[in-house]
Amino acid sequence: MIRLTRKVTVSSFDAQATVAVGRDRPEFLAVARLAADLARPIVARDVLRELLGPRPEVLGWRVIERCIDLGLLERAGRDGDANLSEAGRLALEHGEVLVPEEGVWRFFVIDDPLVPGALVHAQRLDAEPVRKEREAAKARPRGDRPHVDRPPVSLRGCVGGAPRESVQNGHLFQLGELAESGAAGPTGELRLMFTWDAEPSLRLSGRLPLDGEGTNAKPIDAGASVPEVVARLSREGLWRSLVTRATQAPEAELQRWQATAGRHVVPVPFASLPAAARLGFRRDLDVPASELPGLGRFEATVLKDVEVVPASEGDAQAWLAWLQWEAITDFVTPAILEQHAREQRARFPHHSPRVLSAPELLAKARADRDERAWFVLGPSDLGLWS
Amino acid sequence: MISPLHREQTIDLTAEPLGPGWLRRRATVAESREVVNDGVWRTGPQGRFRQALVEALDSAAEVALLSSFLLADDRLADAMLRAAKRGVRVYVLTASEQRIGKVVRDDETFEQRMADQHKKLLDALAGNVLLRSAEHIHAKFVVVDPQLPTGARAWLSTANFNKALEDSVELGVRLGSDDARALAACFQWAFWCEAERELRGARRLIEIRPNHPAAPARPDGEAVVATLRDGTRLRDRVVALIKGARSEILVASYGLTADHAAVRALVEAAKRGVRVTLLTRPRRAVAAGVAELASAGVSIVAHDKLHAKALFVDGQALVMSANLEAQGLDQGFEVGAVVSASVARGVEETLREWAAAFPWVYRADAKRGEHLGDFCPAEAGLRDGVVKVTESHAQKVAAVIAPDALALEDAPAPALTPAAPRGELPRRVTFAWDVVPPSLPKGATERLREVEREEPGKDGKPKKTTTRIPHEPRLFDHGGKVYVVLDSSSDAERARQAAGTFGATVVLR
Repeated sequence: MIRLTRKVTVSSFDAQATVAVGRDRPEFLAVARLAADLARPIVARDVLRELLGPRPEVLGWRVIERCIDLGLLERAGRDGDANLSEAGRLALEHGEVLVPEEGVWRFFVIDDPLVPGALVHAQRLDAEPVRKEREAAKARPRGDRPHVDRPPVSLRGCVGGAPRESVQNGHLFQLGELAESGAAGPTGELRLMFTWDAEPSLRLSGRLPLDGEGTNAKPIDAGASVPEVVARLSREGLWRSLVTRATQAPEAELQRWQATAGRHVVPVPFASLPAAARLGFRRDLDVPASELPGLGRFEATVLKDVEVVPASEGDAQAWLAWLQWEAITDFVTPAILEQHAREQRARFPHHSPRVLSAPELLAKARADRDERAWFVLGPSDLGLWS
Repeated sequence: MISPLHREQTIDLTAEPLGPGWLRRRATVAESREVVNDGVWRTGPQGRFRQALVEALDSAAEVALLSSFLLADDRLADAMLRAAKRGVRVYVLTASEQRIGKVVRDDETFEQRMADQHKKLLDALAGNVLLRSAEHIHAKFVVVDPQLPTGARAWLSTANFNKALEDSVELGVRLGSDDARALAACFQWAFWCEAERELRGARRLIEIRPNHPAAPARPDGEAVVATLRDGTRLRDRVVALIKGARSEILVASYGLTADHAAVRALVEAAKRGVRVTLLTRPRRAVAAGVAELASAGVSIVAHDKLHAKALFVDGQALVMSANLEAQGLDQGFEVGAVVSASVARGVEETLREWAAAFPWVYRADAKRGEHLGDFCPAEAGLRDGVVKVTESHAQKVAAVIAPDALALEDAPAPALTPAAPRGELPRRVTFAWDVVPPSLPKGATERLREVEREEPGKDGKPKKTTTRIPHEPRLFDHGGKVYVVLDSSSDAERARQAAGTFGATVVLR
């Protein structure tokens, strides 16, 4: 699995705005559900028959009009009939209805290549403290008044955009109108995690610099939509790029090995491998902090459980000899050693190492006296080899 | 006034049987001749045999095999570690800790300290040698370089590789190349086919899975024979040698049981006229076997520290690790070697010298009159069972009260039961006691006599009155008997007369 992380800066901006916020309004969702179920424009009679019962028809039309105002339905023709809108579909998915609210809001914006949507949350600020602060500012001499800013471009670009999901609470919200001026709010940091196993995915975690909550703000762990820049990449390409950064193996060589082995493998020098990797032909690769084109800079990471192969014939020879020795876990005869040799040799289909013979292993046992050596020396010295 | 009369009497116990047991005929001394010849050693305080074993290990080029029931000798351990350090593969067989623990509990010869030393030594060897153990491992030997065509050599020991190499009475023999290889074959068989645990680290004896990839050749040496789990070639060879004896058998064994085939064969040999001499150690455990052999005419001597096991029969000698009992010849991993002629001569010489010099001789029917000095009953042990036959013992007896103060010499002798001090068996016991005069019993009442007197009455006329006065000498009554009290030796005659007159006993106050 590819797992890349970095910190992202969250800036905030306080301004008068109209924000449609996802609310629990089951009566309107029922109308949207009716339009979705009927899969055609609905009229007042549909509403009366399915939802309200025997009532004057005008009442049905008023309900439809209200749903159009809320964006759940969109007018289908001149007679007042209406279809389910895109916002209506979204509302049904989230089980909430976007209800416009005017007030002073704090908008949280991220500026990152992988989170291009920028606006991740809107927090309604209490009106009274804001009004008092504004009056106090007016009373101060002109030079002491707080700086008034224009909203950042990225925030202005979100006005009138599609509803989006808050990373803080998962509710839908939609920026309708935004004042021409406001004030920059506090900044903070979130952690961005980009993973790619079968599919790429993004997650944000950490705490937003919410008003009035400080470090007590509820931590977030929310998914984010994968941007277009990722869709243009292939997992294989990204994997090779990371392996190259971890091992200095040229990407071309990695491609050649992929063609030879028919799967991702990494050629490695035998001497560099820990025992577990030598036994299992798999290891974790440490990838240093890297700048990836189009994706930005990520912190150091680990590519887990990567299949490895000998980088050279010399490495294969040393590796096979090591495996033959490691395979000796009990007392052995030459026949058993030959069996071991066959089994271990079969693990090098892309190299041509020579197996060590029983006398060669015996010589090694005499030279390197370790616990394993007794498994060779004992049978040889005590009559099992003759 | 009247002095006690001193009496003595001596009882002769020389005809008292001592019972079956061991008579000490001389002091126990340490071995002084440790090297008999080029191939025979006796263990002793100089440690010459151990030195031969150390030198053997120090000379090993490639392989050393070592087997011992107990392993607790630092110098041998150091030699093994030195060998391992220079690349020699050292293989060791030893008894399991469970078995050693049992022996420590059951056999007074073994001490807990030995078992502790054994464990400590195993810790030191861990990782440097390949060591296996089993409950029945009892053989003691060293083989060096058995794989070399001409360099194989071996030393067979009756001593465990511990302090027995200096303290016990043991034999060690050197074997030639062929016998060394045969001994190595025995080691290989026991190592692969009979061992139960393997030392894989300090205090880490792991159980062996019985799935070795192959089996070694079964030992089939002619001169070197072994008792294995499924074969008793050593026992068979021992019994065959004894049964084939024509004139003389010298046999040494630390342990023996009456019902073992080898002991029965010795009994039969003695009964058919073969001169049989047994050398053993005085222990309760050999009592029954020794009794059987003695009754068949076997002459039996013993040493406090004998542990050697060897057999010399009409010029042939077999040195082995097994005792003449089932837990050895029948059930242990034991080895023995019928040694070369020159080694056999050294063994014979040793057994004869030992037979002549050993401090204890067994007698089933000895009497106290035939022995002076230490005696150990067969059913006891040397540690706490030795008693001393002494020439005489004076035993004081409680004073005897004479029947009459004027007839001390008539007092009968008391019952005389010999009660020698613990650990002593006197040939004669002299009893000594005093005869003392009897005393007036407490509570006796004096007998008075009446006498009449004339005294002037009130009217002036003489008047007769009766008064009670003591007898002279004085008389007393008690328990229906009359006593005459002798207050002074000068009154003896009068007292005798009064006693005759009144049928009284003369006593002192």
